[in-house]
Amino acid sequence: MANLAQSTKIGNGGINGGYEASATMQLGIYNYRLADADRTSRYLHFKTNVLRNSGRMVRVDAVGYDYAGARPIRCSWVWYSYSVDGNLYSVGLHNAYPGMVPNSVYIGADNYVCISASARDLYFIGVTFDAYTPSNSYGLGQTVAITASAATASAGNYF
Amino acid sequence: MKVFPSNGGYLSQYVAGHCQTQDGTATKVHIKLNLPKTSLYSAMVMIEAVGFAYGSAQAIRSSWCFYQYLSTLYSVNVNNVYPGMNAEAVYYSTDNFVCLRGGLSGYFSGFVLNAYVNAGDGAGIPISVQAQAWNTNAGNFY
Repeated sequence: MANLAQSTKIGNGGINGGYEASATMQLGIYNYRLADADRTSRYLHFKTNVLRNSGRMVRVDAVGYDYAGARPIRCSWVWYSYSVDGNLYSVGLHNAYPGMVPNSVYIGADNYVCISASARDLYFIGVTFDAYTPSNSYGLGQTVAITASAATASAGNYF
Repeated sequence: MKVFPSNGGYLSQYVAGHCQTQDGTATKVHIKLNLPKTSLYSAMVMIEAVGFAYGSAQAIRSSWCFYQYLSTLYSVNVNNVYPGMNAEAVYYSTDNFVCLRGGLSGYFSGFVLNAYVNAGDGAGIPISVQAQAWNTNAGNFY
């Protein structure tokens, strides 16, 4: 069994010529955990390294466990950061399990794309993020990172 | 494959285990993990089974989550995304290890287990399968 010290990037095996080294699936790009003992927060915000006008089609998944809520977590955010007008298109929010519910994809004050989610309880909650960039010409294989995180009591934009 | 996120040492574990059977009579699968029931060991764990139930032509994505703390299981839950298998229970074996039970939808079922130990206590501990059984026992087999 391999032990990989950093987030793992898995390319497409050269199916599309010229993209052999691309990382279309990026596992473990970021870990977040919180033990909010006073339980004042319900929303989590994460800033990505994707600019609003970067022309990238991105999917980010969070997988983990909401201990206090006794619920597993598997949810995803998808969007297209359109290079022409800098708006976000085809935004989608999905969750397979009830531990965390994606709340929004929004543009931060510094023009980076941010994602947010709500959870019933942030007392011992933890998630690991994966990213997928499978679309040719629209960010295929470009590294996705999470550069900042925050927990808030309200659902509005944080970054 | 163990993946350490770039910002920390809390890992995701892909293919922490692999289970499969060709048994056409089995309706349940029991999986004994390497996690002991002991006051010296605690871990918040989410485990997913991802696979294929050939006999029912269904996909499998099921999860068990639990907190092994002192000698008790807390915050236990089971969930299923696809109908190929039903995650049913988490229990202690008679020799004091954490076990999972799933209900099968068809013969030739197979799946890998991915483990996520990223919520707090026990973050990053390695998860493995030490035994598996395919039978009709709807209770605790181990």
